[in-house]
Amino acid sequence: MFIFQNPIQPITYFEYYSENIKMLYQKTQPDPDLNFFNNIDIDIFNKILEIYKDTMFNVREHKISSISYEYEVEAEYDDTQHNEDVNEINVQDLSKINYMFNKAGCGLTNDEAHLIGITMDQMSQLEKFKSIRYWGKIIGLKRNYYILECDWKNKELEYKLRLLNLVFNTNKNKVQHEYDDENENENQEDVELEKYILSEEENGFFSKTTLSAPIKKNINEESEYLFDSIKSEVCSLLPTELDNDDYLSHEIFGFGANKKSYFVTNQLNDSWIELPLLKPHHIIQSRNIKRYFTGNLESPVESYPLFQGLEKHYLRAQIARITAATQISPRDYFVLNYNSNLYKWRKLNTFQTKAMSHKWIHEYIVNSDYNPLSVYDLLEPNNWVHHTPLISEKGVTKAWSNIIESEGDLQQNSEKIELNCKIKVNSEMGRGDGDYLDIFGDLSHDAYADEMPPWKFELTNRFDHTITYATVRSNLWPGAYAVARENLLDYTYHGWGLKWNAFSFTVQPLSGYQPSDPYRFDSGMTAEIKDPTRDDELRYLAIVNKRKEDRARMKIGVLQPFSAADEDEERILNQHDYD
Amino acid sequence: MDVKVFHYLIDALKVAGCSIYEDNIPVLYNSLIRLQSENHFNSVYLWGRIETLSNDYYIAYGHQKDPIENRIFFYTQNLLEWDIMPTDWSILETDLVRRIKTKLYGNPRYLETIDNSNKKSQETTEYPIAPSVVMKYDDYVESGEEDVQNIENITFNDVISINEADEIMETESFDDPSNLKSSIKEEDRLAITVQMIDNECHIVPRGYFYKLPNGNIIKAPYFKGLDYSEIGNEQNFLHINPQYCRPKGPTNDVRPDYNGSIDFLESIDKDIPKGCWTSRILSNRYFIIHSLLWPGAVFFQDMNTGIHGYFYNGYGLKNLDLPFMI
Repeated sequence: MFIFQNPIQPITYFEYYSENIKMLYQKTQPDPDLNFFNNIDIDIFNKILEIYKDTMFNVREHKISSISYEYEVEAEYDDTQHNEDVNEINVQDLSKINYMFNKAGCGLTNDEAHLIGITMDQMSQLEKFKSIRYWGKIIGLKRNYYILECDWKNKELEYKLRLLNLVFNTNKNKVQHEYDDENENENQEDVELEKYILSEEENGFFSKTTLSAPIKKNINEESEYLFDSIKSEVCSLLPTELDNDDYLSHEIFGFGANKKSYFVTNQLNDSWIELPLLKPHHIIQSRNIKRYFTGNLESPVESYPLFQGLEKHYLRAQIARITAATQISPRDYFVLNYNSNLYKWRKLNTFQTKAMSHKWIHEYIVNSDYNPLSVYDLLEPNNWVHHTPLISEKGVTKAWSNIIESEGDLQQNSEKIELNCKIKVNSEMGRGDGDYLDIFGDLSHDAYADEMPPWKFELTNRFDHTITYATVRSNLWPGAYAVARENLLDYTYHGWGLKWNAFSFTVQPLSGYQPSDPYRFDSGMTAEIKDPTRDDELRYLAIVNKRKEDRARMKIGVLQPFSAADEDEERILNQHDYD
Repeated sequence: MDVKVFHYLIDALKVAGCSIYEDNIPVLYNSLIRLQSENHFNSVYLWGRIETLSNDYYIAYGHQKDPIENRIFFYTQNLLEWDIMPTDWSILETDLVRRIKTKLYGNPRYLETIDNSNKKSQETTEYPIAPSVVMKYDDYVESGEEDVQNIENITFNDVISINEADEIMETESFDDPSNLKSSIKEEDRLAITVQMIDNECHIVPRGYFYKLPNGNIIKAPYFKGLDYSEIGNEQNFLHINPQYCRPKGPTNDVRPDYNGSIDFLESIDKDIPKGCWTSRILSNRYFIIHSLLWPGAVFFQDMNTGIHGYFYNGYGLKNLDLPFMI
């Protein structure tokens, strides 16, 4: 150790140095540089390097493709103009946004931001998503979750729903459920049709991916995951779903709380896994429990008010709750997207089409003529609104429960309802700003949690107000932030994924009275019966003795733990007999 | 977190999920350096931030000679002027602070009142308020500890120090607050809270402090941080708590490589409840320990350089629900 050639304060720290030198002679200390190298997990660095390398090629391709793409657009502009403007993908510019987050104290490190940015870029090239953004990070006990929030394209949704139908139908046929009613023929036709479509789509999918297979290895895996998750989800949950009558059926893919799908990963260089669909009972049950995340998606959630699901379901429920509660924007920043109403849903069953035609209620886009508020105005709760639908007590959004109700009410009057719906829609259209909907609610109407305001408004820089951002922090969900300044807005979550309670968490006691001993009032036990005869007693004794012998034999054979309850019972019976 | 390494640990803070406003960092750095020079401190540490409903408190401390016993705490709200934290308070106030479950208001002169007559009525409702839970919890802990090992010193969970435990006995006679409406200034509450957190959560790696034969405690001048083989063991992290610095009689459960000059502090592996610390290496570089009992208390170490620090960024509230959550 060369440091001891010239130690600081040699007299004062004499003992320390002598001990250190003794240690030095006792055991060989590893070279600190080698120590560093030996303990680093080199695989991770390799993987990350791979990702960076891939992006390098990707960028080149991207450039080429975008150029050729423009020509195409010019050529068939007339066709696409009407259809959908979903060809553009709305990808969050994470490096810019992260700068903002850092100002607000909820940011990522540069490494993380780059890797996530690259992943989002790769996902956008799959051309399946309408928008991709970084949702946030949830800290777990063992590992953390990074979460991406993605919005599927309508076309993609349609495909997924059809796939779902297909799986559902085949499943139904297998189980021979009573559900197969009048439109069995139709179903079968559909199945064939869908098989056809599916194969077509799959072919397309594979051809698409093989083109860039070496580059998008991660994403390939991921989409396989998607595929799996959807299938297994439906198959496994079907029986329980049918049993649970107390809960509403879950919102279909792409609607309400399930409008966006969430991809999580523990490590940024690993594959991203799509979370399962949100089920209402998960929401309801997750409201009753309070647990840390462990960081393993497949681990069971052990809690007293029962949570029926794995950690991924719990995670999904918490994400949905946080999303519904804390995604906020300055007033008029987002507007409803009426254009998305025009999309025609094809080849879905009636219910799905109906639901999806209502999807536009939650479809918001950035207001193109939003005039920015000053930073000081942004400190007022009146100027902020929720733009995500709230989740009701039943665990679904209001729009969905409306749809369910209208569906369940009167099947035969469906025409009437549709008329009503149309009228409703019209009135909504007439109003334009949609302020009676449950989205775009004012922050100043939010509930207080035990005298504590739900939001905290602050400037990020109190010294120089020209460069400051306005932050809104949620007190109810510690870790939820929204940052805004002029035209920039973003929100994220960076915390433990738990709600703040005004009262400490207590397990709800068992409610109601427990029924008293049922035998006490059972007349069969107290009514007079005939005394046993001698024969009966003998027969009874024979049985008892035989059992005793059996047990004795068992005991000799295997050392079994002594079960007191059985013995006691026997003894009582014997006594009774001999008395 | 030592002010000298403040800038190196910003990324670690971000990874640990307790970063502060980035624009405040240069201001804090400068004002802390000034604090050090004005008070002739050997070193100054940024202790943490306590979030409030309006202006957050930033807490710092410095020490002149003894890095454990003689720490002086300061707080600030405007990041420029540091106020000294009150240091003495009555046992009654400590008790009050334990009972309060609301967040701080961000005004040092705010008077927090707690109505004791309220307590009984609330206990009958479905949600018992904090105090009852605290009591039950503490009792449980104490009894459990005594059963397992007859340690003569206090249980870790007992926030108040030993000498105060004696006081409890004395004060119990008149400390019958059943119909007493008590109040506490937020400044005091802050000080007590910080003290509680510091006693329970402020940890240093083993070997960071060195006790010289004459009893002086110094920071080991060539301590390089724990290496990969050491971070897995909870015994290598020690509480900074003045109570633990006293000389103890020989105990039978010492570690095999016991070294009296660095093991004079209590390690965290006996903390209650079990699993109240969670540690991992994040983004392949930063080693981070979260305290779950006081959410927001974090110890982190950059594995590449060995720079380490401790920071608290939270509401200053204890997580009483912990047994349900792990």
